[in-house]
Amino acid sequence: MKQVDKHPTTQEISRQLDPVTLYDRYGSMAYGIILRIIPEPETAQTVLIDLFASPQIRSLTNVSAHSAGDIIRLARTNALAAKATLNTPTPPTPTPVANDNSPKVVFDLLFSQGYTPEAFSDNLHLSRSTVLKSIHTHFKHLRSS
Amino acid sequence: MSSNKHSYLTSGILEAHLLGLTMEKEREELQQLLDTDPEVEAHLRELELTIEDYFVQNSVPPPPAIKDVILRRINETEIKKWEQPEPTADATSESGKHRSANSDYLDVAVSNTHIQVHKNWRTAFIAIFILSKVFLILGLYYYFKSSSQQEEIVRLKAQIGQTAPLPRP
Repeated sequence: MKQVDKHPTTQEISRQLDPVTLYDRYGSMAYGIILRIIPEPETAQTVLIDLFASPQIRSLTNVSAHSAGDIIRLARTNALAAKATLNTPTPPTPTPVANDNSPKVVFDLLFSQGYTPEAFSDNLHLSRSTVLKSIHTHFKHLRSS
Repeated sequence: MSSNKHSYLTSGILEAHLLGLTMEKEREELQQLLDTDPEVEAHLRELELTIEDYFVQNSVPPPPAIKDVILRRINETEIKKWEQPEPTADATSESGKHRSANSDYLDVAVSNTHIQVHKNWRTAFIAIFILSKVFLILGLYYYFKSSSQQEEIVRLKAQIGQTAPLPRP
């Protein structure tokens, strides 16, 4: 468990947060998410800068709570968009990783690789409900561990 | 907890929603549930904390210089916003001659005939006024004194002329 105690929960965040305060609280978390999607530090740092200087972050500063969830989604969306501009845009076609459809792999492909649950279920011949259930199982495992 | 609700809470919809993976229809359905069922709301908040903890544990500290760059970018954006305020309907209707009422700029049109100067000028003006009065009084005093002295000289000359002895033949 690293750095868990240093970070406040969403409930502890006051109503008026400026982007710099949000960066101090969630910059490391956002950078970790971006690096999962774009493993190149230089590009990831550019995405991180763009994220915390963006109007979306300024709009979050007026929202009461749940900033962490919003930042997680924004970091993922921005990183996937940046990744799409770096690579040749191809439709997401997930392939089984050595027939490993474990919840962790499913979560990683959905969150980090940008596959939609629909594309995932179509290409791997899994039902959408099974794909979503895998995400639940993944986080259930994390909570219990 | 009913079996239907239990199956919904364990379906992965809530996790997918928090990660931004749900479809519009699912989001609407969940929003309706959140509005009516506090238990679902509580479960969602609990999940949000779990997901937040997960990503916090996997966080990576960025280089310290990144914060300075972000600060500079934010400041540049703020400066641009000040330099290029968004035009409003009121502002465009007057051909851009005047700023709108909500603008941060002051209306400095020449309708005001007053000028503003530094407050130290007040003391200077008072001192100049008093000095001018003093010099005026002194000027008048010496003017009248000089006039009276001239008259006295004339009078004395006339008196000397009358009292002087006549020359002997």
